Amino acid sequence: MKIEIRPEHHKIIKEKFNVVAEIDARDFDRDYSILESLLLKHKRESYTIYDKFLISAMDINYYDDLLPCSILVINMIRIFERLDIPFFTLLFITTHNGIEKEFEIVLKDHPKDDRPVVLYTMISNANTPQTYDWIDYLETDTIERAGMCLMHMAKSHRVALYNYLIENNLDKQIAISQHFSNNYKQDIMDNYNELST
Amino acid sequence: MNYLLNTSPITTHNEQFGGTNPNIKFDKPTSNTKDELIERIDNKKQSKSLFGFEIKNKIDFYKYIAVDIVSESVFKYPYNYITEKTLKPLAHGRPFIIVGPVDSLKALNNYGFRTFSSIIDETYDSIKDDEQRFFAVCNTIKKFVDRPLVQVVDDVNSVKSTILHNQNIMRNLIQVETTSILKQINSYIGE
Repeated sequence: MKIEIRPEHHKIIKEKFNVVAEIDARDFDRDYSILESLLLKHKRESYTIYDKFLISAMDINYYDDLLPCSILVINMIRIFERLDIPFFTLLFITTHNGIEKEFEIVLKDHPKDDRPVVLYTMISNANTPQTYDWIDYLETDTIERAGMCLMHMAKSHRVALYNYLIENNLDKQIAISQHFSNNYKQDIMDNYNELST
Repeated sequence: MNYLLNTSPITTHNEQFGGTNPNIKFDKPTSNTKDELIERIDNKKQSKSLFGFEIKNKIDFYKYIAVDIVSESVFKYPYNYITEKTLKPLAHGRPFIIVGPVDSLKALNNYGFRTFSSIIDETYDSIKDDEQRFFAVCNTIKKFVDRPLVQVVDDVNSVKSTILHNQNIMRNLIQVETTSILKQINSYIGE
């Protein structure tokens, strides 16, 4: 499932701003020339404070220990600058609580009145469906296992956790689901390739 | 700090979402082969991809477990990042332990959710060092589940009011967050 802005939030943004273009970070975070092309296509001579390029980053970002902030933020700012588009036209909505600090780092020497607008929300279409199955699980006489751990795709912390549980014989108490094999590196590359398509 | 001197986008990124911690020793599955891995699970009449025990009904599997050990999308990460993996046990009325970024529980507290410190050692949540936090949360898991099932169930029974409270927060979360977005926008445009 593609992680996107909740429709309620999308509606408010469209009501309050003139959205010049809507771009999902997931669509360009492996090839930033896509962002550059999209921005170039919709670039204008001038902008009001209501004109916004809506960029949503509801999924996880890439970080590198050598950089003080995400590759996404650095690259977005570089591309806006290169195309000579003012930063205030960037309306950035994200599930990353605190990412505005990254813009402050990158734009440290840039005028304060030309900053991106950063909206934070904890929820997206993926983590809050309209309705949950509100089953009364307060009954506890049905409990068969002390724990459950759904791991799905291979990631380093999940492989580490899985091995901890197995090595400590906790798989008797915990129902474990995992979708990775012993070829951890290959699993990660498969996941990467799957997400890229 | 001269990122803007070079205007070329960076084209490389971490091996994996959120990075890896080479200091964490369990960096490979312990089974030697995939067949062995599957066999270990099948020997217990379990399915590799069906939650480790025979599920009567996939939808309501939460009723068969006491605590959800949430392996979040990221672990080494600069922000708390709450996904559906954490919100599911909140909605479905089960305590949980988060294997995820630092301050994940704190973020939930800020939203009005209550966590389960009365029955689970939650000190792992505030440990900034990724390796230390990983082993701390593993110890928490072991301490909680490695007991007679009846004791675990008693613990779940003792936090029913917290579970109900969290479900009420969940029911209103979309509305609360929509109001929050509106406030943030109004603050920007001065309305």
